[in-house]
Amino acid sequence: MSQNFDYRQLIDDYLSGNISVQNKAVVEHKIATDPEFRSEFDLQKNVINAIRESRRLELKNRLDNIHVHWYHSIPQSWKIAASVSVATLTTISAFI
Amino acid sequence: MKDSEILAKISKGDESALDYLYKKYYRMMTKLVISNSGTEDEARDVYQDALIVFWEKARSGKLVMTSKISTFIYSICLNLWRKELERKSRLSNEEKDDVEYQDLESEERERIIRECINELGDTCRRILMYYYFDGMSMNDIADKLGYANTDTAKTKKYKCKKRLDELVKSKYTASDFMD
Repeated sequence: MSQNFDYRQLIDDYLSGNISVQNKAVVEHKIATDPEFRSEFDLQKNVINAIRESRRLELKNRLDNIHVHWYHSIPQSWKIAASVSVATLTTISAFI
Repeated sequence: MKDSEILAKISKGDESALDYLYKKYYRMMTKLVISNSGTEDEARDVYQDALIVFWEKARSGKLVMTSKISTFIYSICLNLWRKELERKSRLSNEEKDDVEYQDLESEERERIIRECINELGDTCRRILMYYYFDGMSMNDIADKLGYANTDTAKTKKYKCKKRLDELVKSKYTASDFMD
């Protein structure tokens, strides 16, 4: 039982990138030689990928809900140019 | 906001930095895709993905910024759009191989696992996402979720992961999934 738990922890550490070089070799050896370990490893890989994908989708959804008005992200110089031309037009129309 | 301030926010896991970047460079980045034969929807999609890649890299702590954030995001957009164009041209040539088939199988599995993730409570979902995607330390997770200490976060993470594993395994019989 405790050995079982250690292997689960090792797989978790391996897949989250928090593993020592030595333990990495242990995991890779087990993958190559123990089919049961390998299928648990593959399953955990899917689980962790799915967690990551959930977060990615969540962040994407967050960005999708931000309404970007075109005016927000145009360069400052354009805004100045635009307000100048509006001012010019107003001046011109005052004369007409 | 200066680049250094944005990076500091990201390292704290503050997503508002992402919102800020999104608005700031929206036009510049979507224009890149649109002027390279992309639609507006494709442009938005690529830009959002690029920002998330940037977030992931910045979160990993391995990012060495040698240029402005905007330059960096621009190059990610460019790469992602190039890949997407390649994928499209491959699809039109109808190339198929085993690798893609295996990917589909894995994708289907992960889709089902994501349903299990959605069955977890919000706190469990947050902890697992912060740990496995954002690479947050237990200390930062405890801070962000308002736990008294790191041990509470650790115990919670362990329990949430166990609960998820049980949910996933309950969806499959041994013969379906384990061999």
